[in-house]
Amino acid sequence: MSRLFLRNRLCMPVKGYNRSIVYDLIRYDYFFISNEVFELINTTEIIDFECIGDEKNREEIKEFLLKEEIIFEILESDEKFNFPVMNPDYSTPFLITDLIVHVDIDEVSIDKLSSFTLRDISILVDSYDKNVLESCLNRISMLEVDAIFIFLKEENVAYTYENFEALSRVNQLFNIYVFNSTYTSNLNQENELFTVIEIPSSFEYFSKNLDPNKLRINIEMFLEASNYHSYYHKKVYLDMKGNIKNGLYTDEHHGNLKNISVSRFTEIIESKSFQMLGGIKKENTLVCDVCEFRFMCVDSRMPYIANTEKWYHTVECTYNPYISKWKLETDYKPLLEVGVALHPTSGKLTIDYEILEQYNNFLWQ
Amino acid sequence: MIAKIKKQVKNGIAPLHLLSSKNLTEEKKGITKVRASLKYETSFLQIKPSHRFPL
Repeated sequence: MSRLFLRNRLCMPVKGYNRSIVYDLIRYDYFFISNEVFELINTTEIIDFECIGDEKNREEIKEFLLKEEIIFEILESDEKFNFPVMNPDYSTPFLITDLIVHVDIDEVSIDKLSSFTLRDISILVDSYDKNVLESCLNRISMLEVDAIFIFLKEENVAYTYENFEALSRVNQLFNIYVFNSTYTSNLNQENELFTVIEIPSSFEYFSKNLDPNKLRINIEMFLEASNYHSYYHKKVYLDMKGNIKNGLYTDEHHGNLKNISVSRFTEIIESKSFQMLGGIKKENTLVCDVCEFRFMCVDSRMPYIANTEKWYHTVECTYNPYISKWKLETDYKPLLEVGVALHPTSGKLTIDYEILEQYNNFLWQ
Repeated sequence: MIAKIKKQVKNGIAPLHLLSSKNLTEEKKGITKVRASLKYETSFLQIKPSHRFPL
């Protein structure tokens, strides 16, 4: 009798153009697999290994999937009913999940925000000033907020632990991001209450482009990205003037927090026009729809829509899913050079399969 | 086929050093540290890191 295998319900295979990824949602890990293996395990039923003709291949694949605990063995086929499939829906009690503010946000605005329960607040700092930052952080930490992140945009600065020591008092502070700058600390890292992350690029580049540092694998992220836009959904950005925006780089604003009441602010962020961008799915976005990273990425690019049902971006991503290459890798080529052409006026994508296949053969065969 | 997968992982993902689970673990460690340090004060609260990149 052949052995019976089921896929771990929290290991989700996601298909890309060239290859697939198994998202191990509970262990925050991932595994690259071929699209052939994706087809094999993309089922909630018992996996049919017999469809792989070559025995050696079959056993190798089985061994790999078992070793990584992507699949497991059951003794009776009825046992599959003991492992219900994950509900794909997503909802969150937060009206705002991520709020982005500037360090000089006024007290009146902070008072208005005190009516909300917030998941995260990111504080943008153009120029580091210890007193201004401490003062802002102390006021923001009084809000109902789970986690606070600080982004120090100034470059070529040598930060030390002493710069941030006073911030340790704020329990909600998780990470401080510094850009093209250094951080040194004499303190044992175990004793630091926050993590300073050195990003080797400018804030502008980092915030505009997809970066592997921004990828997250967890159940909530997977479900949110499957149902909504993982960047714009439940995000609010208050720019330096207090204008209410969907994201860092959206032009349109939806009023000014300084001039409106809390109830009006609530109406705005609950309005259809404000929530429109948050409702765009990666599955309905050209290029992203064939990217195997689509349910772990946070993409700040502005999506547009043409005559078709599909959304598109005018700026190309730093990852090309058609050749499975990141921009910082050798052999990376942009979409057009590998035969993939996006036509913004019609919102259509055309692929020259001969050129694409030729380059993929060069890369991967 | 496995050889193909291994090749993809080995050669295809140059930023693996940036992107690998090790790196994610490093970040998790940072979060864990914070959580551990807050354990005494907030053990009744569920302090969670952001499920997505917050910016």
